[in-house]
Amino acid sequence: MTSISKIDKAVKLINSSFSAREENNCVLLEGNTSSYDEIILAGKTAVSKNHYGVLNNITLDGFKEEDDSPNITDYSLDNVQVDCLVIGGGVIGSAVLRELSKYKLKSVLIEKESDISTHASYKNAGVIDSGIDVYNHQYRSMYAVRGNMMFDKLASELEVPFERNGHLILLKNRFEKFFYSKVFVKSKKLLIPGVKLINRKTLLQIESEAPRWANYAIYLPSGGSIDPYKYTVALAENAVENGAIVSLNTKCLSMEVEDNLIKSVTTNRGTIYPKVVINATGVFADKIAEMANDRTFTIHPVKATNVVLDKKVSFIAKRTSFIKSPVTVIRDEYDTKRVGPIRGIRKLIKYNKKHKDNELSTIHTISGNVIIGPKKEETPIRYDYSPDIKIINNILDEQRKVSPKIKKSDVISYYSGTRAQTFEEDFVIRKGITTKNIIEAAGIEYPGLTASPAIALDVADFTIDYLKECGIDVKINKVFNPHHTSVKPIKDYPSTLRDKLIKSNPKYGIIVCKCEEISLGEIEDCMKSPIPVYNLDAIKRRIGASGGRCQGSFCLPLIQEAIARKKRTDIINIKKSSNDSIILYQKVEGIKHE
Amino acid sequence: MNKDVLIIGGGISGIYAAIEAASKSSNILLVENEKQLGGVLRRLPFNDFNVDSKKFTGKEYLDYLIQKINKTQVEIWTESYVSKITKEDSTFSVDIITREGIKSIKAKTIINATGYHEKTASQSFIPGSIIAGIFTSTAILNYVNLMGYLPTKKCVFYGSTDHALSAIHSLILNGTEVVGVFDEKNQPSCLDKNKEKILDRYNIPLFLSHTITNVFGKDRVEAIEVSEIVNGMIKEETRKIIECDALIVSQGFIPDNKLIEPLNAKMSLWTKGPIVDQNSMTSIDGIFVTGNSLMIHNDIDNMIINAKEVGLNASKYKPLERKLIEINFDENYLFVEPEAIDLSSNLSNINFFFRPSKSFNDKRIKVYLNKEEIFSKEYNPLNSTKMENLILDLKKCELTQESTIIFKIE
Ligand SMILES: Cc1cc2nc3c(=O)[nH]c(=O)nc-3n(C[C@H](O)[C@H](O)[C@H](O)COP(=O)(O)OP(=O)(O)OC[C@H]3O[C@@H](n4cnc5c(N)ncnc54)[C@H](O)[C@@H]3O)c2cc1C
Repeated sequence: MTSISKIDKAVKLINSSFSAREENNCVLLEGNTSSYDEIILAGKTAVSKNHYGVLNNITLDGFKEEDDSPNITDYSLDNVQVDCLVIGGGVIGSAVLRELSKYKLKSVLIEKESDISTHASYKNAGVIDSGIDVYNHQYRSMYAVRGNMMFDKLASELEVPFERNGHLILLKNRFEKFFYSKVFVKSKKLLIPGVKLINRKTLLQIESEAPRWANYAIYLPSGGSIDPYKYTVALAENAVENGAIVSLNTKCLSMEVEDNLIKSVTTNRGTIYPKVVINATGVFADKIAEMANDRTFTIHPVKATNVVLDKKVSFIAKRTSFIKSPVTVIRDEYDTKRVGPIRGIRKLIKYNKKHKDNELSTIHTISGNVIIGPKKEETPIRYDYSPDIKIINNILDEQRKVSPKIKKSDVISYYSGTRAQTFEEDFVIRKGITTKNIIEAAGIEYPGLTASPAIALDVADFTIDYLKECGIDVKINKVFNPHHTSVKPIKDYPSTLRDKLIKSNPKYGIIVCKCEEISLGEIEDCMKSPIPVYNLDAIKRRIGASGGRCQGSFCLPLIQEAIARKKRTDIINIKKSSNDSIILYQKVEGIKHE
Repeated sequence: MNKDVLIIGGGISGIYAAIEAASKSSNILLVENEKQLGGVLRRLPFNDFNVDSKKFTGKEYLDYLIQKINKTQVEIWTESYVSKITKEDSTFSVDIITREGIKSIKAKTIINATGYHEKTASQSFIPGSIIAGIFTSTAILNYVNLMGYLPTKKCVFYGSTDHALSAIHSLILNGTEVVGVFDEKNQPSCLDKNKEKILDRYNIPLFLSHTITNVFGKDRVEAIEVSEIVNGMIKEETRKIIECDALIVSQGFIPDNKLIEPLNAKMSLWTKGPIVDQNSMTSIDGIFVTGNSLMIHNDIDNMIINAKEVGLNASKYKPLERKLIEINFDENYLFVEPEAIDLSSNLSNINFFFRPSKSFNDKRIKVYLNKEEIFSKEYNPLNSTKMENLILDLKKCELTQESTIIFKIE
């Protein structure tokens, strides 16, 4: 039996309306169901080594995708000819744009949202992974290890705070050390540096409040953390400083494909004529690939929910991020009975069946807060950002076993993001297959942030290769400057320097955000950057104003006033983020009182 | 620059503390981050205040306080932000950010009166992501009363605190429709008089034992779902969707002690403010706390009494060694304040504030010293929303550092 007929049979067992057939060397699934679980199961069942990927056309009853087009239409990009068009302003698109700005090319990035880095690249814990987490996935591990190594240089060039304090995998019992041998062999193969087994004493030197039960740990010194948003913005801004163009609130709506070539890309701001297109659209990458007639994969979004804890409890992960090893079973605190190896392993098998792939991490973030998570769920909604309170409680309950000191009142916020997973569970980074002038950077799920610099190098190479094949003489941008000045909170400056700054501009001495100690001057600086943004979320993300304990209850009105002054408009026109995220309706007509 | 007393925060409590301190010393500095003194009072121009046997609106009261403080020798710096306090041998070195630069001063004592902040929507476990249209009641008061802009035309409140009621009042006066107030507790969180004055008067329904189970809307709130809770569980058939453009959250307040936390001041698990002795001095010698940064007050009379005392204590402060003992209380209390007593300081007529953890009828407040009853008084009813006080004369008792004092409700 051929592999496709086997797949066809297997998916029919899930639901009799399902079928599988071959199309352009992909497995195409068709049918209809009211159960999303069945679709996921069918997709996973259909994965085969002999095909490029799974194309899912099974429809879900009653499900309609939301339209998230920006509420702006103009012709500012109409009839514009460009060399490279990057679609998507997440970390991947931004890193690619910066690589492209090293050449003398007209490169434009379009992003449908009102700022750079609003989706996966924002709703992200900022872990720079060693690569070990994903050792089973060829491209994810390869790009993660390569990307990881590039961060020291990048972070210093872009002036984004970055720490490389290592990551830990915690073990409880002596017999669990066999897991280390497995990790060690993999790390050698993947070229992950410095992996070693440490005992509790050494562990406490690295993480002084490590959980009581952790008697051993695997130390991964290359692990680190970064602010994903600031890093992404810095990449894009540095690209702009080197001649690239970024157009926000610009959505790719359709493409005209002729003779295996993309002729034009239509947006809400006009039709663009690119020589080559880079698809970096995250959870929408299969839609864009389909528009380009180059679809070989399906994105099934995986919702991941994280809980952010107050800085008060940052002692639980002072320097590193850690995870319990998947072979370690910890039971309730009260359970003090010793577990022998045989019972231990039996328990473990039972446990692993139940908890497969759902270990929670305790993550040290660059801002000093600790994040715990993620909990993952399949969802048909690409931007399913609504965390379920049950899941939050679940995360807290589970994490209390690892760090009993965490209380519900330590939670300052929580969020969900969606990962752009393919059924093959790997990155798709390649030149176009049916269409020649597209480069795909798709399926960029975890650890896409870590992998971003390495992915960008390859994508830029593919792009340049293609342009050269077309006979275009691609020249190096000799004046490329890799250095970028990021806005930094001046409270972190030495006192004398800060004092000098205030004396040169008194606005640095007017504190607007009390919780994070951010001044009016710094808020105004955010609006002077290469990609200026004029909404509240962007200011919060760039400089931290309103991101503290009170979450802006006091300062948001003042920040709104500052933006309105700068834009010379009424404060009513200043929104949270998108054009529809209205905050104020009207002026109060002479405050009334009887 | 050297100061006897530095007061941080120019709200009601900071102003009273400064005025009182100025009666003993002419070297007092009050620092306020905003453009004007007043703090929360600036946001409550229409509330009624009965103080110093006068009736005021919020605005009149603020004018009155400013006049009062201007008659003293207190030096006032507005638009000035205390950034850092460092403890030195017998003084504190303080960095203050102003528009002229960073000013460093030395202070013998410090009174922290920085107020509180309201629990945010995330801290209140509102389902979904925080989109435009989800506000705290603090934000509403800022937008409406301070800036003169209306952030909602039709809204729902989650939480029935007095602060929420002030926000409701301001919204109603400006034409906003308040569909209802939902509270997870089975009794209102506000004082009865405020409930009558605002909810009853404007016919705003209060739904107790209700919670928010969903928020709808992509960019701005379009509707919310509420449900009744019975025995801690959501009653499925009561899920109800309400169209509105805003959800206003008022789930309680947390004392703000950001400045003294880095000095490792001991914090109370109960009030969420610092642990203090009968002089309102924290575990750090020379640092006092008052107002809502000490604990959340819901009546301003007690707060003013405390602020005045603290002002006086700080101005008289001498660095002497303290002998602290802890005050204990049973689970029938939400908190008892102060949580510590300094045996080497004045022990006569100590004023204790407390709040019961639930409401009681026909119960007595009792205090025991080493198992012997030293105080007993009937409080009827005991209401969990109301802070009460009692005065203990501990001078008569023979207290040592081994003594245990425990508060009970029996
Ligand atoms: C909760 C969570 C935590 C994570 N934590 C980590 C971590 O700690 N470390 C790590 O290495 N990785 C992490 N990841 C993975 C990492 O965040 C992603 O792999 C990475 O951000 C993907 O970047 P991207 O640019 O491909 O996608 P995105 O950031 O989603 O960017 C895609 C962009 O394309 C735009 N777009 C889409 N369609 C169009 C269109 N038609 N026209 C114009 N623009 C369009 C979107 O608006 C979006 O801005 C995490 C992911 C999640 C969800």
